Amino acid sequence: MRAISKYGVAATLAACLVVSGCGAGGGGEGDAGSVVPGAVGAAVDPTSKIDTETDAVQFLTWSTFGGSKSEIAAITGQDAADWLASEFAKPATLTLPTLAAQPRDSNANIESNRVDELYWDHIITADDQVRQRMAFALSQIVVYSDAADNDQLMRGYYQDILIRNALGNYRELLDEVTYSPAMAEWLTYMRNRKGDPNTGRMPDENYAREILQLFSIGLVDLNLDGTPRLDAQGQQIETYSNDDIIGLARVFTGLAHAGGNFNRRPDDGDIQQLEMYPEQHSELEKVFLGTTIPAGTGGEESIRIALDTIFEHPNVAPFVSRQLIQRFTQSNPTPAYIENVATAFESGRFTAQNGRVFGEGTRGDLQATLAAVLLEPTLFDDPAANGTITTGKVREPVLRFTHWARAFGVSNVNAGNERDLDDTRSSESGLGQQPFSSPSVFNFYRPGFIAPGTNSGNASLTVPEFQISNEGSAVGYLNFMTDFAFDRTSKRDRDDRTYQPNYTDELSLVDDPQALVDHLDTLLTAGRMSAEEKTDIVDILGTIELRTSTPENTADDQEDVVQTAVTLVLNSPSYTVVW
Amino acid sequence: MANLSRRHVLKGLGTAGFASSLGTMTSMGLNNAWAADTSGYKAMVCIFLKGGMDGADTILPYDQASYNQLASVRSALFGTYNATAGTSTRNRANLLQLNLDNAGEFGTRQFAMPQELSPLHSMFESGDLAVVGNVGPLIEPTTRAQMDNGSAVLPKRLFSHNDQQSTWMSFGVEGVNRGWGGRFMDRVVASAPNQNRVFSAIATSSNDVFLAGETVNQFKVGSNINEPELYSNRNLLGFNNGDDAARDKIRAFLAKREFNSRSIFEQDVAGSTAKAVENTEQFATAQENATPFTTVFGGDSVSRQLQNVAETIKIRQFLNVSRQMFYVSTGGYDTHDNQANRLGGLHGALAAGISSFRDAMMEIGEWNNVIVFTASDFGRTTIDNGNGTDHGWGGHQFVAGGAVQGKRLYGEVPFADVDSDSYTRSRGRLIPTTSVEQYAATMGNWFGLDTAELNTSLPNLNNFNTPDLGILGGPTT
Repeated sequence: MRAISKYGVAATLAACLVVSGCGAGGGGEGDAGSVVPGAVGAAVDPTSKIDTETDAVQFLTWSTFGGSKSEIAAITGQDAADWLASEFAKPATLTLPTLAAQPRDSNANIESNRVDELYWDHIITADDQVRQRMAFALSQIVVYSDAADNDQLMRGYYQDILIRNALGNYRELLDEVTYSPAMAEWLTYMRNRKGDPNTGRMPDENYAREILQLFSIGLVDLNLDGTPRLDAQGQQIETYSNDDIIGLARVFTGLAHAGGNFNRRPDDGDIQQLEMYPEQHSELEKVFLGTTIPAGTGGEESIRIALDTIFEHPNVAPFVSRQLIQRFTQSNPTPAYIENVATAFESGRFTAQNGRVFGEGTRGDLQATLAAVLLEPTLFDDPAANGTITTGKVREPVLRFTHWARAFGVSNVNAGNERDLDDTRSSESGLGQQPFSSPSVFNFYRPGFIAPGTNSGNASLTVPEFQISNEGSAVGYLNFMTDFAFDRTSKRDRDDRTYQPNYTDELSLVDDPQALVDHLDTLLTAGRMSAEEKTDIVDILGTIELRTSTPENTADDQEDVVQTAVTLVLNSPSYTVVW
Repeated sequence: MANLSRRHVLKGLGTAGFASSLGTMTSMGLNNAWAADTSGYKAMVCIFLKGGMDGADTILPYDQASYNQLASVRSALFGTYNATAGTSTRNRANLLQLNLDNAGEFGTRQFAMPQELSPLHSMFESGDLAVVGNVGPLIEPTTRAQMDNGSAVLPKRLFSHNDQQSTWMSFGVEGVNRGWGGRFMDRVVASAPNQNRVFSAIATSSNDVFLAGETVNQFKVGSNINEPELYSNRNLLGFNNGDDAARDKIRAFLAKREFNSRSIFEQDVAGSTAKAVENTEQFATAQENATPFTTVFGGDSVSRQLQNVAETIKIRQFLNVSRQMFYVSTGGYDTHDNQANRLGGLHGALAAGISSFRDAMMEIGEWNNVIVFTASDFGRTTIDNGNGTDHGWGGHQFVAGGAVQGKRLYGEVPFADVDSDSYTRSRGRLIPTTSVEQYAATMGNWFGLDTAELNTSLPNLNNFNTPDLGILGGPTT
């Protein structure tokens, strides 16, 4: 893969992650083949081969909710392309079956917050990690939030649309999203009626506007590489006008819950696709984006033509590609990177460096697209030996939490017992982020966000995650992670030790703070910690007093050392960022 | 309860302040081009109503003819309010008429608020609140004829939420990185060397561009200012001698701004964590002086945020600031559907929050020194969509404070004649008649910025003949 060569010295001899398998010597002699020493500053291997545990952690950080120790061991030595193909082949783990099976109260309602709690358990434990991560990424492009309506089954049904289509095709995804009760409630086209010339009533424009601006083509014409197209005067060209919105708004009329009654929701209406009620659908001509749907065209046919028109717009590939890259690997991808991914979206195929081919050859193929995001050849180049690194991204708080949970193999994963996981939206006491609960359809952050008063902002670099991860949230995040790392969260049943981390490997290194920090550096930051961060943490760990009065006291203090080490790494700049 | 006497006192203070700022200028030497009046204490509080508040359902026509006209254009929406029922909030009989001091400017036209805004209506009537009609982003004065013939220079990406929020805050679409709240505070900090920059711009919820300046960044306050448990809670590591030393080192690690990281993002993360630790400690220290208000705030989001603002103002002497810019934001105003059931609750919370804030400021004698003003993405379509309204442009806003020349309507609240020149060609979207920059300049002038400073902060202000709307007593220079 690549050598992380921050200081002109390739980081290589990381401690073996599963310490029990390393032999008595600890980090000095790793398993044969787990570490490939690289020449100073030189490429170890320019392909997507995962040579070392460090490579494995890096790739799992990009592509999953964080690498577990067993996954790290399993993929080390494989080519990332081959591993990705095996992930794509896994069956989808859905959320609705578990949610629907929850106990009901006398009104047949599921206990509140269950959908949020179960989603944490789901993304931490699901075996099809890449699919789940892609679904989470898509949830931040075709944004549905339960901020306005907390119907849990409706959200579960929507989550599963994203999970099922995450490795499918973007056109089909747009179709299912459009016909979903969740999106219809959220963007207010549920029971949206055709205009009425007598009262002057006009169709709701909400979905027409946001499907264009946020879910498909964006505001200005793009080249395949994501740069804006310019007109003869050097100006950007807007993709649509207000007249297009008025025309498209007529398309999204007449949809309501299935069951034959426009105004009535049947019991299972929230977990079925919407039905078209012809008498409520606009019969007028619908003109938008250069397409004219003739007067009198039926509702389903109008939606089909509209979604085809939107999907065929040349912006879709670069618009979606750039945002997917931002969710997985880089906040400021080069035009060439965007073009590689957009080309995979357009052609429906991507060929990895090792020759493996992804995708079925149909435009909008998301396996080809995601493979292009994660196997982009330049990701596997060595970072420049000198100078400031401006590639990479800030990791979302949600991913920083799940990575901790997976890296330390938390047992008894039952968020229902964890009060801290009921609602993680607060930036004062939570993560400042909760899946499927963004404040608006504009997600937790904007793809173009540039943080004021920062080095990256002064360099005009985009960092969406800084919109929620910043001075105002740093202490809240620190305290949230401290509680989990120290296993001192507030639990409903205090005797039920949920979300308990396993620090066995780490405790075996507690007498050697340098080895412990090296180990955590590999496990959590893929060997990206700076020498200064490591020196500081080693110094802190060596300062914590180990009582020797009783074995229990010693063990207690040793646990403090490990928990402190973990917490400090979770709050280090190199864990927060991946590059 | 008119505030004439208080305003009188305020103006006296303003004169004294001018003299003292001259003194500051002299001491700073002739090279200092900035001269903001930073004497005494003043605060501005922006309440951003995200989603686009429906102006036509906030300030309603009250004279029978205008009311009938709106009810006709919005017959479906009024139907969802059951407006003809005797108990309906949109029945004309139940609207709260605004008894304007400047009624003469509007002829036979009369205006009202819905009942849900009752606390704001009381404040209006007592002179603590003014309404600014049909304000919105403009590059220059704009007419429908200019739009029709293509000669109008328009703000980019009208009707798009994120871009119009950004335009209201920064005069550019999403991606612009300086807001006018931050720019105002840049000028203050440049003129007041003792002003604590960190606590100059305070946000209570989201991280938006409004408070971003060149030298000023927002500080976030909430209901609790929590310090890092890892070193402030002694139960974590224990009580051994070595543990205190470790805690000191942990604090130093978290407060370290620089780890020789090569990643520019890592450098930023280190900086923001360090500043969070330092600023949180500083604020927590100031907060030790806090005493509770007698005023009880509501539990809704706006009220809680305004309580945070009030509490911060109350400890201002420990924060070392003579000017502060606050930013409160709240969502839910994107009422595409179910407007009749949603807007009332939003209005109620907004009105209760502002009213409680007024009471709290009266309690500590600061009501003359603060202004609270609203902003929103845009107004909404006058023509409804059945049970809601869609994205528009111009809308109506509130300005409250002891210094406000209240009980007046500034700007225009056009007739609901949606085919008239007051509206764009579709769906009755108001073309603003007052620009956001005039709105901002009026408050900036009161805040102490001079003409040059206002023009630096507000790029299109010179395109408008009336840079001060007179809400706060008009130009003072």
